[in-house]
Amino acid sequence: MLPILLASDSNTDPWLNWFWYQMPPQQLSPFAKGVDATYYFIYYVCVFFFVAIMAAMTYFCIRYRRKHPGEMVDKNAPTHSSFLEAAWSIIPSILVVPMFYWGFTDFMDMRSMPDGAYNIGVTGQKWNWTFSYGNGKGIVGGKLENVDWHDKKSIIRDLPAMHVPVNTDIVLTMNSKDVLHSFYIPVFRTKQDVVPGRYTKLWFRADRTGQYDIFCTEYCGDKHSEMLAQLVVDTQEDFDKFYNRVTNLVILFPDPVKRGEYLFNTRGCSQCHSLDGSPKANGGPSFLGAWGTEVSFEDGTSAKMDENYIRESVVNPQAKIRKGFGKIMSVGLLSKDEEFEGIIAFIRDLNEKAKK
Amino acid sequence: MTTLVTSEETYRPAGEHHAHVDKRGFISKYVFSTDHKIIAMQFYFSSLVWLFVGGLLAMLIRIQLAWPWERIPWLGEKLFASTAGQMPPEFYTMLFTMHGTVMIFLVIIPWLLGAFGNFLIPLQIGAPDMAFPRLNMLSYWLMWPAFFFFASSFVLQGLNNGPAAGWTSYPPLSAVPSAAPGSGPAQTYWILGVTFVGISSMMGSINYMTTVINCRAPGMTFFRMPLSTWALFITAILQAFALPVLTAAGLMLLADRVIGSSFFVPEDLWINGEQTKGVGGSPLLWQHLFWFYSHPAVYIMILPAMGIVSEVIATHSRKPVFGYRPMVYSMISICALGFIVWGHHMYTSGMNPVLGTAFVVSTVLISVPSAIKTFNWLGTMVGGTIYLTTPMLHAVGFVSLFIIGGLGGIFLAVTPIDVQVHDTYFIVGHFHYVLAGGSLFGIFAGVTHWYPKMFGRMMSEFWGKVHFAMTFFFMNGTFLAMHQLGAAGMPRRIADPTQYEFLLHLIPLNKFITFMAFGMGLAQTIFLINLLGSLVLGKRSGRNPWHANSLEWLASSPAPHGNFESVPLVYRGPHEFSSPESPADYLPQWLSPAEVKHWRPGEDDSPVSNKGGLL
Repeated sequence: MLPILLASDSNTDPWLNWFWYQMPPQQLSPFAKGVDATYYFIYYVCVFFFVAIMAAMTYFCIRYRRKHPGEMVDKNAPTHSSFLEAAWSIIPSILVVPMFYWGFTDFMDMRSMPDGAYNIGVTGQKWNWTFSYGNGKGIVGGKLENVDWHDKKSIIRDLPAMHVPVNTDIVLTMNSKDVLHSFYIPVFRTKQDVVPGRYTKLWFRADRTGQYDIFCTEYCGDKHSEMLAQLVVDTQEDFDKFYNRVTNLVILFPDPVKRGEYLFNTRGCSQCHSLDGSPKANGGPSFLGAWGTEVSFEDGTSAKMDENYIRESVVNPQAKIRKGFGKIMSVGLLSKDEEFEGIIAFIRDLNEKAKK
Repeated sequence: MTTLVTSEETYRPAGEHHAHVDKRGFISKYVFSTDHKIIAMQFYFSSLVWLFVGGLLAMLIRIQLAWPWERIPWLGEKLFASTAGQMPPEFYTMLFTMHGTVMIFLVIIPWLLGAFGNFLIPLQIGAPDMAFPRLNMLSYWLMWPAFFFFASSFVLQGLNNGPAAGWTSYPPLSAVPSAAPGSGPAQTYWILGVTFVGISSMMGSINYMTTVINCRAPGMTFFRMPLSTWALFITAILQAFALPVLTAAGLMLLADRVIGSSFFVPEDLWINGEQTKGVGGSPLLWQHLFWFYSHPAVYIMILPAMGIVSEVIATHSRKPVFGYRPMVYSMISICALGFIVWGHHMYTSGMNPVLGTAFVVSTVLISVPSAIKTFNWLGTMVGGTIYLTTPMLHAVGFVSLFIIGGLGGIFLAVTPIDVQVHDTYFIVGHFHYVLAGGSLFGIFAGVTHWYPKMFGRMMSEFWGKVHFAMTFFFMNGTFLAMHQLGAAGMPRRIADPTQYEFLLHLIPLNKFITFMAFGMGLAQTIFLINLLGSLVLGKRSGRNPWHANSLEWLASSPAPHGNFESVPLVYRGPHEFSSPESPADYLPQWLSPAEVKHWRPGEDDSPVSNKGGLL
């Protein structure tokens, strides 16, 4: 009983605690209690057998030790017993059945993804975790270079943090960009390797708000021990605020040029428009050096490439067809002011870069 | 057991083979020798050297975990001048990679199979040598390229650029040369080293199997073989079928690294800012291939120790092994089950949970033959006359430590618990109980039990017991506490355990483990001094100082070239201690019923040096 009683209290003296410390103190996910119960069942079965066998062995060593030279063994001592051997084959076999059953049901709970869960993408890369929300629209990462390892506040502030809403099923779809990693949240009793070239999944539900630790537990190189992250369990309102913040492009990319670059690469523009000055095959004109130039159209007219021309070309590409390209562009995937602001700034900035 | 009926009892080709006059020179006698006993000693002493190398690496690991990032006095200035005496993580990752590699591939496997396998098999089955003596010699000398490559991987690129992918060497970290500081040439040397060890072990396995099947003395039926030979025979089979998979996987990994194939490297990896050229390989494939060998390897490392311990407990309790045949059958079933449990190393790898569950079933089943063996060892002791000699103490120590290792294994077999403690210090504690507690104590029991037969002298009982007591105490202090660390969530293979407040309260426990580990390391110097000192100072022993029954005790001590003066005939099982047919408490396998009547027990044995043991 002692381990269970003490394990429920994490604030006792650590010197006292470490001896009795078994599982980490908090049980947060739906399966944590089941895992701990199975753990302690096996623990007590093992302690019982260990003590019994050690006591027997110590007793035999003393009882049957040679007491004087020339002492002979009782020649009728047993050398074989079918009953005993059957007993110690069958009893352990019976004892492993409940262990197997509980292990099986808990494992199935862990590995069966719940329906209608909230999805978060996780990417592991030496030595960083990145979390993406809303189909990749909002991405949270952190830069380890910014973390001051001697400053507790800095560790919490500057590490990447995964926010999740409380009391909601969360499914993580995980992938690695380089080597093997493993995603481990001790208080949730769950862990899953993150493998390059395939997706692995992990689910949990946090029943309490708070801040918890995430480890990488698959050795991934010399800074493996610094591949950490924080899990922040928010109330639903706090989580909504967080979500709006990370999916808001203005907050993510305050610099319009960077915002435009992100949009250019993620909204499909880069498939048809090059940045090196030469048009792509079956594509549209290159953006390099285009800003401010006079461009000519199929119908013989021409116009200056400015803010209004770009906005119109995205919203209604058929309005003006560039000479030599044809009607190949459908609608551009931008709709918000801050998005137009970004792509305009990006194209304008290409001229500055070309001059350099 | 019944006595022999195979051949006439009077037949003894005495004298004919007596003239094994040894005309070989020094080189062919001691260096390029084809004598199984010399080859055994070559394995024995090279493993001894590597044991201390591996041990020193472990001590350095413990320094970093107890005092992370602190300046290491004296040693730090010598080794880590560029980081002002602090141990850099590159060095730490090399440490745990090479500690595991050295201990498994260069200490435990060669010591148990190379040394004891070579020494015991021909002597215990009554053969003059192995079936293929030259193959045997080659199997030892192929260890030297492995030594060379492992040693080069330490030094050629500098200590901070050693192999650093862990002893499991999971790709892509190990497959892409730019993935880790040490995964350049050092990792390639590492793979070559493992490959040479594999080829060497392969030759040994074939030799052992052939020898046991074909070279047994007349009357030595399979069920008259000592359990140590049984264990080595089963292990040789296990190794012969499992090892080619690792060797093949090693060559595939080598191809991925050197000629840019893509067995284990998936497409579109970005490692350190560079895209790799992999196309559609699978890192999980390596894990399957690696564990298909490396789980049987656990049994390769524990079965011979079990055999040695069975032998030692029976001899020093003066009782037949309790349930000889169930002991053999349980070893065979461990061997068979050992092939179908590798998936329990991969519960968190993302495999199908149904498949994972199948591996749970096969894994928990292994606890049944293991339990049978444990209880039979206890049964052997009941009603015996126990001599608490050094080998017996180590054997009893083996049983108790193996129980902890085995019970810890039950936690790990049950998937949800394994998911929690996988890749934490719980695992580290568990397999050290099996390998350091199990295999190493088996080795110590074997070394002390067969020392008189190997070298013709007795080891010091007093220092042997001091070594046992210290090792036993410090070993439990080191590794029991590691279970605690792991259950509390401390991951393994982390160069800095202070990154999280969550682990800070475990630092005192880590310091405690480090002091215990230092004590364990110190105790091994006693072992070394006792082993080497007794070569010169030990009391000379007769043929059969322990009054044992198996055939190796018929040969003189140390056993000469050709082992036996004449071909021994075998009349009974190996553990006929305290038989009513015998005037003494032992009855050697080689005595015919007619000879037993005139037999004066102990006539050519020197006095046994033990005085009734510790108690």
